[in-house]
Amino acid sequence: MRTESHAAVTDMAASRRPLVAVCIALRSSERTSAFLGDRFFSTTTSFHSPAEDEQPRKFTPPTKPVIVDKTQTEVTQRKFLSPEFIPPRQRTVSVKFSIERKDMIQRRKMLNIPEFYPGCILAATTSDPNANGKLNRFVGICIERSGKGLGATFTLRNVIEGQGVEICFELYNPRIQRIEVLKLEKRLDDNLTYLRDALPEYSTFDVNLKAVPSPATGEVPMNLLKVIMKPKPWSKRWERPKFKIQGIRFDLCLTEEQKKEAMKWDQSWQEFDLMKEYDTSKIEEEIWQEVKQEVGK
Amino acid sequence: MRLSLVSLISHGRVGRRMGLGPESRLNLLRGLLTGLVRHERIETTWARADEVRFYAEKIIDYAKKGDTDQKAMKLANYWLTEKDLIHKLFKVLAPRFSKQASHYTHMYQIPNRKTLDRAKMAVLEYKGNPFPPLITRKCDSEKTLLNQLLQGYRLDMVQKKNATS
Amino acid sequence: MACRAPCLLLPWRLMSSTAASRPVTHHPSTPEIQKLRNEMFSKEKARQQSLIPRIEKIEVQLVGDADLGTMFIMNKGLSTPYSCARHLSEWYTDNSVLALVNGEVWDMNRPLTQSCEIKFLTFKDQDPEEVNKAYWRSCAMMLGYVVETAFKEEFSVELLQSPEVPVVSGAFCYDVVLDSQLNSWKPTQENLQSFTKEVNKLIHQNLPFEALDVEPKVALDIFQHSRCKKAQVEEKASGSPQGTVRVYRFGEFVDLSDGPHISRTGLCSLYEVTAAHILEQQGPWGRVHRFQGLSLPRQLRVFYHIWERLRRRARNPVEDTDSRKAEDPSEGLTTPDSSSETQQQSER
Repeated sequence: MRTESHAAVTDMAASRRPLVAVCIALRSSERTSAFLGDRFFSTTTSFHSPAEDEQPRKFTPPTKPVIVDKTQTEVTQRKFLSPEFIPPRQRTVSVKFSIERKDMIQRRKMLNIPEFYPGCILAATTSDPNANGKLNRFVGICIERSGKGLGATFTLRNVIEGQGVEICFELYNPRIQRIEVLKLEKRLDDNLTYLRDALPEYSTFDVNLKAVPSPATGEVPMNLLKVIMKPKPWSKRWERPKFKIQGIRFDLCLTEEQKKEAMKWDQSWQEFDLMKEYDTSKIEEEIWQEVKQEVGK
Repeated sequence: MRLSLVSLISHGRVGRRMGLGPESRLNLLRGLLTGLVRHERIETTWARADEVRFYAEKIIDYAKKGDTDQKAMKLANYWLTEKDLIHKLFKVLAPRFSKQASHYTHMYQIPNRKTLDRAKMAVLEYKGNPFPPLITRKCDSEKTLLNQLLQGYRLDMVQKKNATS
Repeated sequence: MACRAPCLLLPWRLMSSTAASRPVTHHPSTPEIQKLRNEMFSKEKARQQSLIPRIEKIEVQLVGDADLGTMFIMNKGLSTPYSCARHLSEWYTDNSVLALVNGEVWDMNRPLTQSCEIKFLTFKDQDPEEVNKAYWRSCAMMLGYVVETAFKEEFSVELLQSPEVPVVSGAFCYDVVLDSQLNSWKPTQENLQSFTKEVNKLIHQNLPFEALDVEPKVALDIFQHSRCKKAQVEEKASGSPQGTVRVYRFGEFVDLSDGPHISRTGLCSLYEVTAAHILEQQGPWGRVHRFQGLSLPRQLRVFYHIWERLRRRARNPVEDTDSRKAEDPSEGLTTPDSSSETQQQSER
């Protein structure tokens, strides 16, 4: 399937390859409206909110609680502070951040934002801005969490009918109705944007994936998967040391010479520049206390 | 580190540009810091002293964690190019500042360099070094004119008090 | 109004035209005396300068904490420590009060006579006793000049001497015999302020103090109109080993003093004439008024509140001997209220 006639779709190598990554920004409603036209409806599952089915209740009670309990007990026992709470390093007084934090906590009281990391498989349910009462659900792997404060985002990626799709959701957008963690795990890297240049099988997930129950305590399970890349050129030179990519099988795609060439950009001395250190442990502890207190109310 | 208009609008860039690039800058500062740990008082240009001062304080902070701390050892190994100084850092300097939470160094501006380029010069030193202090507090002696006048005034007051009581 | 004594004291001289029209008597007026003395001083100085046949060079070595090893090649009998200081820096010219030449205290404006070691003395030295004494002496001399010139020409003013008072006593003083018409005169606050204003003019002019060693004969000539000074000249001439008398001058004012004095009048920053008392015991020259003042050099800063207290204390009469008895502070205080009362009474 080919996407024509849309600005956001004009991404890298659209003409060359069948797989096209599509970035949809939720904040521009006009763009999304064009996107979520009839062509894309097949890819996203749409819900009709009114509950019409009136079934005779025979054996529903035993089945339903089992499913609901499994998802409900998923509330994490781990000490996890969402990264957008930590203010970026700068010299201004943090009034802006404390005000935004209040709003974020307010939103978290309304919407359960679960613990998740880049590498988790998520399902985000959003309301359609143009169709009243309609909900769109998108399932994909979280490849990136970015932004600080109220404008924090996360990006989900999936390949739907051979077409790579990425949607960047704003975490505190009121249009987001629900965020489910279908599979909680960590990958070798904190940023999986290299999946764009990996074989499509690594970013293909079933739209109707069932949630895998995850342990509420202890370490988050690690997925040590290393991906195989498509042949070069890539969107970025992932072999360069500054990306510190662990999750790519470089041995399959790079020659020894290329590896050596990449090491020319090695800047390992940067870790010794104490001026660039940003120790957040203290701030993190303070904010954690504040958030715990406020959310618990 | 610096309070100036430049640092105010520096967009988070806090370090000076020195040498031939960031790596050269660190190498330069590394040499200075090694000299500072060795001699405990060095004289250099003001900008370099100001720059290395941050690292000199930070390395003490890490050294206080003890030589068993892996990161502290790694940093000491990088920053001290002469390896016999690692022992001094952990065994001499860190215990010296154990009661102090910060501000381990003094920096003084000295007259501009006369020979080469009239650069602004400074002296950087660790506190508690064995050298005589650079700045001694000057106090007017008891015999200056004003102090003599005040002494007479005090005597007068005492006499008046004795006369009334 | 014009006949009232307290109002006669004016800082400026309006009556010079009347003085000029008056026939010259055997007793000249104060400015004439001053002019005469000034001329004689200049003449004597020129004479002494002309005695130097040719300029010889001397080596002056600087000792002290700073600028070690500095050596000046100066002119013998011509160069002064002040000119040495000018070779060094402005700091030295501004802060040096006296010089220590071969261990002897030397005026800044007195020519050097031989090769020597020199050290500059400041107010902030470890032991500035000599400097303090010189400062007190010089301030008293300035006070004498002001007192002499401030009165109108009808009133004769005769300066006696400035007693050496220790700094601890709180004020320097100058003894003056005023005209017999002014025997019951007490200075008001405005009078004292006008004195102070005159001194401030002197300070602003930044006049140098010049020293000159003269023969007693010349000194007697200079002070021919002053009975007291003549007696002092004789006394001092007999006391000194060389048989000479030292005379000082700043601006146009010539006075007899042992010295040493500070380099310039501009060293003072705060100066105040605080009181004038009539001494109880009457001297051989008449009824003695003692004028008192308080001053601080520019180098020593003082909080205004402290200065106010020191000023109040400087109004108490000082004794010229070191043993000072406890004085009643109310005695001898000239308050503006009491003086204004006397004014009203005299008007009636």
